[in-house]
Amino acid sequence: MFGKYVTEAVVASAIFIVLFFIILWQVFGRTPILTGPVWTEELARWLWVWMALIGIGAVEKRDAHLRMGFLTALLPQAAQRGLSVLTDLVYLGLAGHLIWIAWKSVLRTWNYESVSLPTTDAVLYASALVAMILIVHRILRRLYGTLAGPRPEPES
Amino acid sequence: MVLASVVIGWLLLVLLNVPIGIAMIMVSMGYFYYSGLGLAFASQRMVDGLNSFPMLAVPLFILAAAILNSAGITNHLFGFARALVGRFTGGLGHVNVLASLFFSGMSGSAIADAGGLGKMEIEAMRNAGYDDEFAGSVTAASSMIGPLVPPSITMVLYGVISNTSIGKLFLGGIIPGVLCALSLMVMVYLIARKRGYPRDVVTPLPEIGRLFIKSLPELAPISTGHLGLTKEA
Repeated sequence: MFGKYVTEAVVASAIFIVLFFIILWQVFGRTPILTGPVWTEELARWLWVWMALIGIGAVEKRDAHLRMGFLTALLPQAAQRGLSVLTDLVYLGLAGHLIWIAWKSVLRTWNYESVSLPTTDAVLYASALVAMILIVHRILRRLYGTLAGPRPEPES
Repeated sequence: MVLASVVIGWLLLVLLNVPIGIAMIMVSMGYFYYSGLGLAFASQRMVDGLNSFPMLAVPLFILAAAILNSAGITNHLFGFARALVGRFTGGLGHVNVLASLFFSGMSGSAIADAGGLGKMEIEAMRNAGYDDEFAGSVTAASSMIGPLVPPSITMVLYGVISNTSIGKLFLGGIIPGVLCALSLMVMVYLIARKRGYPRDVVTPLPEIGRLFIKSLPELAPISTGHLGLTKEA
């Protein structure tokens, strides 16, 4: 959708730009000259949560998680691929379960009104739901790429 | 026993090339499944853990470091550090450490330090005849000063999680950060003397003063957390 850019990273960056100006407003609003609106603090926190959780999708796409690969690098390529698929399958199961848990959180918080924003807390907790859906989408694409990728050369 | 299993399980997963964060999620969820505590609030806790105002300082400090890097401000810091300590045996090694100490007063992240200053430092050291291994090691070791000297992202996270005063944590990090830098400089000096690494010519005092004034805007905004973390960021 955004050419060479990762969609999640673009969305997270856009949220960060809004967040930056909200914080500026909030910080300068605290000075004795001005009276900052109360809602800016809560909105800034919510935007940060959304930005951070959506950003995980971009990390998944770039496979940029911190990891220690020095031991598995010694394994044959086929074993490395098998291990990667196994890890992704377990991760997929956990993320899938977290989607269900996040959905229940959204339902649970639907009737709780936000302190200063004209909405419910469910909007905040929906961030985890959206993030998990994006993560599952990225894992599925990675799994497809790994399984459909070129087969390793048979070892002599 | 359960705790040991969790730690061993996590280590095993990390050694199997599972991303560190995901390994943490896996063992935590495994523990909750095993103990029957359930995971009904897992996603809610994930969101609540992030939903904190001081935490907003983290992206802002990263943004500040990125802006400083893009604006070429790291060049000024490097130049000033070179004028100050480049004259000693193993000069560029000392410059590497001192520039990291200066930069740590702005970024709070070891990765930002290594990514921002590292390339320039390693190139300068390589051109001056330092071994790649030495240049890389000094850069990696000196970047670790970043999380010690305020503002420190690690301290922000620790302060938020443990409900500890971030201002006090910041103040507590200054002396260890400076000691760490001094120890590294001693080590650089000893190795440089043994291997015969070069030193720069002495920079005249007026030139040091000029470079100091040029670097002042970058050196000034060192954070202590006392103005309010997000405000400082």
